[in-house]
Amino acid sequence: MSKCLSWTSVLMSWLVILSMVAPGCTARMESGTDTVFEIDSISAPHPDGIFRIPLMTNPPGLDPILVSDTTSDGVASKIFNTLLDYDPELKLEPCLAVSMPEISSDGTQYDFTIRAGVRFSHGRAITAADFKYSLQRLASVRSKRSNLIEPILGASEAIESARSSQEEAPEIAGIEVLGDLQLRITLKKPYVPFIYHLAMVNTAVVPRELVEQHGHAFSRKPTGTGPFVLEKWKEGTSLLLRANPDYFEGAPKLAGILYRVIPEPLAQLEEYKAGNFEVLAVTQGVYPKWSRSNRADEVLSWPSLAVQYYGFNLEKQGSPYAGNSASARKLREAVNLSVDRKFLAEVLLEGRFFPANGILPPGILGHNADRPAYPLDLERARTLLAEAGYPEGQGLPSVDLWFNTQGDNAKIAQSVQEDLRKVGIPIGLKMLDWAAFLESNESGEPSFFRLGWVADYPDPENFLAFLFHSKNKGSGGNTTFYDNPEVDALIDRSHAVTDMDERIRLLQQAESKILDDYPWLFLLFQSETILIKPYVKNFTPTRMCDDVQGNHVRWHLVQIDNVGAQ
Amino acid sequence: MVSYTLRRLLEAIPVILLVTLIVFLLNAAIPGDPGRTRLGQRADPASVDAYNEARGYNDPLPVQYGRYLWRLFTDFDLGESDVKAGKSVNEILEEAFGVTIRLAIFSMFIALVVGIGAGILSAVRSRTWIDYCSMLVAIMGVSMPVFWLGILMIIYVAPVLGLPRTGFDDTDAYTMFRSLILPAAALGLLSSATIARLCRSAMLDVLTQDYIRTARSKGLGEAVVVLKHALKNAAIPIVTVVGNSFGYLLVGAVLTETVFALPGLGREVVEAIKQRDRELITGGILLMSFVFVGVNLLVDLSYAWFDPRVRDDRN
Repeated sequence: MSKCLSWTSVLMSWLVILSMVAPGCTARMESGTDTVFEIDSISAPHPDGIFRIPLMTNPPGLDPILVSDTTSDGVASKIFNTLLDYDPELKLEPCLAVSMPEISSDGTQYDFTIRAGVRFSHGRAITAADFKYSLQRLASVRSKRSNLIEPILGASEAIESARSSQEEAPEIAGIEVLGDLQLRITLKKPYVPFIYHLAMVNTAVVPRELVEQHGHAFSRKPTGTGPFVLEKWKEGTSLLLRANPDYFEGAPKLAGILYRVIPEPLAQLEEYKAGNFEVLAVTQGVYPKWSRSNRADEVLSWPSLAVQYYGFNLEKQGSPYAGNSASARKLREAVNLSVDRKFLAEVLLEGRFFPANGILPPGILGHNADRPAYPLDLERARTLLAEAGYPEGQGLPSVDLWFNTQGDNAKIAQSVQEDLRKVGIPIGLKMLDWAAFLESNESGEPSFFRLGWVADYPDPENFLAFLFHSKNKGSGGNTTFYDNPEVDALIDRSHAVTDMDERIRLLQQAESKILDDYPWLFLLFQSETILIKPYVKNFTPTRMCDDVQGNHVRWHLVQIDNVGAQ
Repeated sequence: MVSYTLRRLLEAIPVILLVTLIVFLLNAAIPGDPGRTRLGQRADPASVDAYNEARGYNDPLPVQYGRYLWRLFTDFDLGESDVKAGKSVNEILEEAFGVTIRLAIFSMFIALVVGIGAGILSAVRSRTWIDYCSMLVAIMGVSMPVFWLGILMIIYVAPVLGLPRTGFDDTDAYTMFRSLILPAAALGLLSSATIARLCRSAMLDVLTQDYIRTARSKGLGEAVVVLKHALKNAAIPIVTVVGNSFGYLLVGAVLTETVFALPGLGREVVEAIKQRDRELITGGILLMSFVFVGVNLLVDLSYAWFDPRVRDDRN
């Protein structure tokens, strides 16, 4: 029997090794010095012209006022429209508005004319009253983005009233219907970034009668003016959107969009290879292989408006990195000079990221392309460490780096830990799930933590005010508890400046001051990488696209070219 | 028998109540504010507080628990999901359980046919190549993680057999059958390995008993001896394992459901835990407890059918 068992063990070991190796066993062709992989991937468009997209999770809800995650955002933005939208260069342009708004000289009044003849998919034409209703809904207790209308005159009171009474919000004085197609929005005080809020799906127009008819279920039976209409939603399995033939910019070229929920990335990849998806988000291991394969033309990358960083809690008692003392600042600078970002970006993360040179990523107005990325300078780091009172790290207490269990976070943290150890900076690692991490972080528990930021809109204010203004300390978003009155003043001044060059200059000054204080270990900027079948045409992602959903892609123009099918 | 069944049903009530209480306490103890988790990093603190207030999460725990029990016992209302806006927990669990029960029945069918078949064959042909081969496959089955077996099936088996790689399609019985073959096989083969090993050892014990020798000496055919006399008496340990396995298939198929993209109960509850969807966590675990209590009851009752001495003991 023991002989049988040992024979069994040997056989099983071989089976295990074989099966682990086999999935990666695509044929290899030698091409010069590069190894080129031959990947067997079928290019077969759906016969009915349906565009198929994999999702990791079921969208939680499609009512615009409830959208707060990228999955729901991606689906909802194909069903709804907003007053404004972005062109491919991320400049705001009119969408359901006829033109850009007329803004009063004091910067508080925005007058819109709504496009005539645009209809909801159930047939009724939109009016200015629909916009008033839709914006007003954001004040309700169910809304997840009431902060978007807070700059409007009377909105704060309406939001507060709704919260205290747990009922619908009263009318907001600052949203006025001046005619069937005339809408006026009045702000409490000038706030230039407000205009970006009107391009976010949360402010999309919805038909009042259907919202009232369906109640909470509107989230699962959404109706808008967008290029697609939700036809069928099988929870946790799939969503089918059909083309809206009456879409105001012209009927979509696609017959529809089919989303399928597949949580496992490997299973998604197999479905893509089998020709069952048109696009696929690239995960670990896919990019290097596909970009050196016979299918390299299916790899599509673009820089996104995102930054990854490790923040220092500047108010954490007992942390050597906290506070404004010269010693703490030197320690933070030493940390910044000790990390090999090139290795992280090019080796560990397979070239899907690139080293950060500040807070604002490329593509955001005000990004400073002339500033070099943070160098790896171990000598200077050691000198700073000694100047801070910790020669070779002697006596420097260890702090924990907190991060959440997602994607590449753990391996980046391990690499940073090793880099810091080389100069004598000890850190421990602490991993939590997202919910627990978020709560601890905003309560100020960690001394050192990992976070990222993806732009809501392509303006530096979206990064700097949220992440560094002292009024947003803690749960407001400034989880480093950074507090610099000069930076606050620059950001506040920028809110009222309508001259874009002047605004950007102020915000660049604010960024420079923040960089001098090293509240972060500035890590990486990000590229989005997807696979897309060669027969798909006119899928032109903007930098605001942060996954395969293609937010702000002109979806009515996307086309499946059957002639090119193989 | 009836009084025994009633008594077991009554015993289940405090178990279920205890489960709701424990889940409530755990929900309160685990870090992660439900409002913040749902509204995200960008929500202002007032919105988070308003969200929690509107859903009663700011109330003292006894008040929340009392309200939950009242809703449960008056309307069998498990509340509304925090994550899936506009969906009730009852609806979500009904849909998810519908998928899981089909998967569990199908995979248990595969597990029983393969496991008992291989177990009997191994016992009857003990220490032959058939026995060694069956047990080799069984050891492999026990050792293989289900997500790995699932991925192998998606890569190698699905294209060969022309089956869908992932997803659940219940448009009609045929498409549903096709979409469940691979996940049911992956799950069922793992359970079949355990059943086969247990069945083999139980059968080996029984086959050496005097009454089996008597049956053979009476001239009964080997099939009758093995299937009617031996298998029934070897069944009690098998039924225990099958019952437990079925319970786990109903509640613990989360890896299979994830790999094959099936919207089942296990995946739903794990997602709810990640998202701190308190109503769905409580409802889901409550349903799982019902399932376990029910399956255990059925197992206990089936002992009496397989072995009348058990029934006599109870009487």
